[in-house]
Amino acid sequence: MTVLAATKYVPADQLPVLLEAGLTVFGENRAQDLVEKAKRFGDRARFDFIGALQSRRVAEIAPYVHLVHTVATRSALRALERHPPASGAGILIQLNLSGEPQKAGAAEEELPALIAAAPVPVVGLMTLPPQTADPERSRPYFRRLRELAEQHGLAELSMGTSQDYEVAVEEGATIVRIGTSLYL
Amino acid sequence: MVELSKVIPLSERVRAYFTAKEEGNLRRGPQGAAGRALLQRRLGLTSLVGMEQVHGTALAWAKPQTEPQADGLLVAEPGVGALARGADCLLAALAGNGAAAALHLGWRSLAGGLLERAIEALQRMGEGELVLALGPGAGGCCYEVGPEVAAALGLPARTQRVDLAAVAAGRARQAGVGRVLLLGACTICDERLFSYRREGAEAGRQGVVVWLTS
Repeated sequence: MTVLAATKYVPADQLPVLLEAGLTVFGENRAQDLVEKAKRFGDRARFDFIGALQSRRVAEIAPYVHLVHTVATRSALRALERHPPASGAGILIQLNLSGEPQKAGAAEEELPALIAAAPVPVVGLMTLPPQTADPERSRPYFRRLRELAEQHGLAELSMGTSQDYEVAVEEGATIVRIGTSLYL
Repeated sequence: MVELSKVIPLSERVRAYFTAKEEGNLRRGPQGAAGRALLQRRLGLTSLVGMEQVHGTALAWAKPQTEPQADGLLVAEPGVGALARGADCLLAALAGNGAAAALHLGWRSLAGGLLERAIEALQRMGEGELVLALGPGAGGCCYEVGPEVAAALGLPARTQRVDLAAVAAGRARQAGVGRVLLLGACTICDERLFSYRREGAEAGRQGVVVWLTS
């Protein structure tokens, strides 16, 4: 299991503290932050992209990113085809399992077609359950994501954040994205 | 876009056709003879070559008047149709421009690497951009599998259902196939199709035919 440190609010100058603490996988929400941090620390850590993926930003992150967790549209796939990441990189398809209209992510019915169209290896799935104070409410979404990953032959499950990572791990998460609780 | 009962152009010279149940049973032997003859006429082929399918990983060439023991049938001679048959096993058409293959991709063949072998074979022949059309097969909605199937496909042991087309699509893209087209129909719940799981041992067989135009 991989603990991904979501470092959106951590300035590049403070990353060495996290490196010394033994963290080696970082998730960035903004393309320019990922590029800046990967340029400085890419030899010691791996940088994933976990933010809203704008197709026009794909070219910027392509040379530096390890996994993109938030691929959900054909246009993102086309952008990845035009600007393929380095070999060894992969993508996760973000699914919107709750059907919340304001939330990014593909519907589960779209998954086979997205896998078929992906120009880089699809290694797994990612989801964000609805915001909640009760981690147990996230469990059905994590369970469904695991079932879908298994059905589609995908190994990585990026699910669970500071609010619900324990439940996510119980349901088979292979990557948890921890932000706030690491730095408090 | 893959549709049943439609001639699908996969490249300038390669065509594929996925049959539906209403077009008849294409089984080996006398039971499927009428269905196969009708299909050959409808597609205007000089011959239609099938395989003795054994859930393995062997590839053979489609030669008129033969029926090789294989699960992947290569074809390069214009007008000769290569036929793969199935009930719940995934059927696929892989195309370059000067050669193509019809594939019978059950879980054993998929796990054994038949798809990758066919891709390699066409790549070795100098076929550049490959296109894979994935037709009917057992879908993620219905296809319950045991731990031995999950293990063979490299999936976690607790996997309960598998979508053969999605697994094949991911593998094909990783093996360098440029374009993957999906029908997206599950044989087990889509009654336009024959299904071993739904209909039992007497289920008929649908097919995929791949051929080159002259």
